[in-house]
Amino acid sequence: MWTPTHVQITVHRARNIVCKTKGGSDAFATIQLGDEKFRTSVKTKTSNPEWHEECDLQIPNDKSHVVISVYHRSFVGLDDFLGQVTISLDELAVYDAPKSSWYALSSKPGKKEKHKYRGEIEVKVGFIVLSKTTSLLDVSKKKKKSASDSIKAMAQAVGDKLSVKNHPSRTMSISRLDIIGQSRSKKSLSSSPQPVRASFNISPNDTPTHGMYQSGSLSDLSHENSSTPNTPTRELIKVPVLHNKGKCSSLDGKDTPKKSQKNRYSWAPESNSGSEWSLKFGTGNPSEELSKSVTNIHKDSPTDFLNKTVVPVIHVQDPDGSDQTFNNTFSQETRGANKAILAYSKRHTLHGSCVPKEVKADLKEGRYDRVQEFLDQQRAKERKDDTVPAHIIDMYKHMTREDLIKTVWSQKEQLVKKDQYIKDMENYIDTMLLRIMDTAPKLLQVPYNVKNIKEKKKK
Amino acid sequence: MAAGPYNYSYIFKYIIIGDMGVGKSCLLHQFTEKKFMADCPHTIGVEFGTRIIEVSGQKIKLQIWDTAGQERFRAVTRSYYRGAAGALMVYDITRRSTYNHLSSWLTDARNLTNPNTVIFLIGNKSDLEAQRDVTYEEAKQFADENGLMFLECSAKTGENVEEAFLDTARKIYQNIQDGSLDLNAAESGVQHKPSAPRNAINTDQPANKEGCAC
Repeated sequence: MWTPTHVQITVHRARNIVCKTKGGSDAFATIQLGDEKFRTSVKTKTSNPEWHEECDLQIPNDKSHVVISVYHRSFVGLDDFLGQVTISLDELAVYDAPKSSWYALSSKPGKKEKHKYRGEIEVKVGFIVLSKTTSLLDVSKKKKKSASDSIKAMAQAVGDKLSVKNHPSRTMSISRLDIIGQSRSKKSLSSSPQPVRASFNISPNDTPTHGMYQSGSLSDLSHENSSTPNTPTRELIKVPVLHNKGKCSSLDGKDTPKKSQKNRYSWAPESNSGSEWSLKFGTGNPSEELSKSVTNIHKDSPTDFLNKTVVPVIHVQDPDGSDQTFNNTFSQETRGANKAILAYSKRHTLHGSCVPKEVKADLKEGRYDRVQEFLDQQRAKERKDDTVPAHIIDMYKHMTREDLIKTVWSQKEQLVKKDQYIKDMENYIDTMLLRIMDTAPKLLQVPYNVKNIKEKKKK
Repeated sequence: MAAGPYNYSYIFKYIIIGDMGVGKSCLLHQFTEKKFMADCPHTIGVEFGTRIIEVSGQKIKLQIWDTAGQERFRAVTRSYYRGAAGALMVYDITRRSTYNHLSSWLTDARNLTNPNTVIFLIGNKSDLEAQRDVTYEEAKQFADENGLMFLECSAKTGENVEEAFLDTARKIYQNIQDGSLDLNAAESGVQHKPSAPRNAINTDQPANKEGCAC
């Protein structure tokens, strides 16, 4: 039987939540499963916040439940509780495709006003298996700098895959993963290195699968943060950073440690919410504190973490469909190029473009340098398209999504009005011209000669 | 000075048509002022320039109307085309799109002017030989097929500009001599010698009024 190691929670939005201030609440949600706790960004002054943020939580045992709580961020004292929902994992079928549903927010257990309406929250729950390996793409990128490290990592990665191969009982599960883990792999392949510092806590509770996959996942590879506003008790809390859904503006492997603050998030191209999220993050909300700590970790081990990236093994597949995943004879380059191309094509299928045929041919015939060249070109292109001058970002970064929509809307209305005005003016000029042409065309002569006209009048 | 005897026998009305940026205003400026306007602004609305030329010993005043290239569908267009004796249809030899649009310009010219209007095709910017996008031969063929006169000019260097305007005038004059162009028709685009007033016939012609008042 397939046993998921992680549950993937996507907090989409909430509606009709309790208003703590005039314009609504400054709402954020926390997601807790076992010892792990995540939190979303804060959406200000709204009773219908939209987060679209995602996290993976390790499943401690199948009787556990996910608790999602919504709070109003309070600058003074504790954050205000707005409502919570408890999702029992054993009530959900692990084979189902991830699905979204609305859950009613309830009061804290044990409170009197149990049936008070607190609004609803839309959450997507999906089950996944995460395993730890090194991104081959990243290895190939960093090869020159630290050859020994990457070879080590390589060996580890290969080992992981082979271990999968050696367990025939798992093959079915793996192919299932292709379906279930679809969205996950999109993100992971294009996501960038995550810092590795905290221990990989393989707890005794772990399922057997877990052990075999050498437990460890994006969410495990977290640093410990001892001061989260919500938990004054100083308990250890897992990385409160959520994978952000949205278009990936930074690209795999190539990023320098400095840049990678932005890259803590993984991205999925299916969301149309755009890059607002990247603006929202790390600015002006409590998670800022956390981002700082992430950066610090980067500073601590700038070379180390690049080589210890986590990417699921599952999706190394020839873009043409022929599954080469468990071929023992694969080479490092094949893997890297295949993966990169796959990530690229996945990222771009939604944009209407795809991998050119020549590149596919190159890939088949083993001209990896050319494939790499193609990818580099594409990356350079994307980077160019995505750069917005810093001062522009500064101008809008404080705005919420709603504010931005309002701004765009009002601009649009103004444009329509102006267009109409221009049209009216043109029509007016048209009529005037007609009149002039009929009665006094001399006025239209160039160069305009006042003298002639005055003399004419005298006569 | 204006009170002196009229020093021309006819007024011919010309129009210049063609896409935006092909150099219509520059051609006009080059012809009337013999200068090239390096940074010519976009023409908005309608204007005209004049110059007196001589054809077969006759002095003829050319009244050349120029309008914005994007104004094809404006109400003023009809008025602009009306009563033109000559139409200079301009394209840019370095931009094929302007050449491709000629057929629609030609349709407009044919529909909105009288059948005797002389249409002269001008391939402008002949000084930019290196960037040429339309060959002389194909344009010549297009002109022949549609019964147009054709020259390649440069408003910048002035090459062939005089010729284009003068050839058109000669052709119109020839039509008058042939009798194929009826001067008395309201839309002929030609005014006869203002010294022999024909006000009764051509009161609706703006050029006529102008001529009489001078």
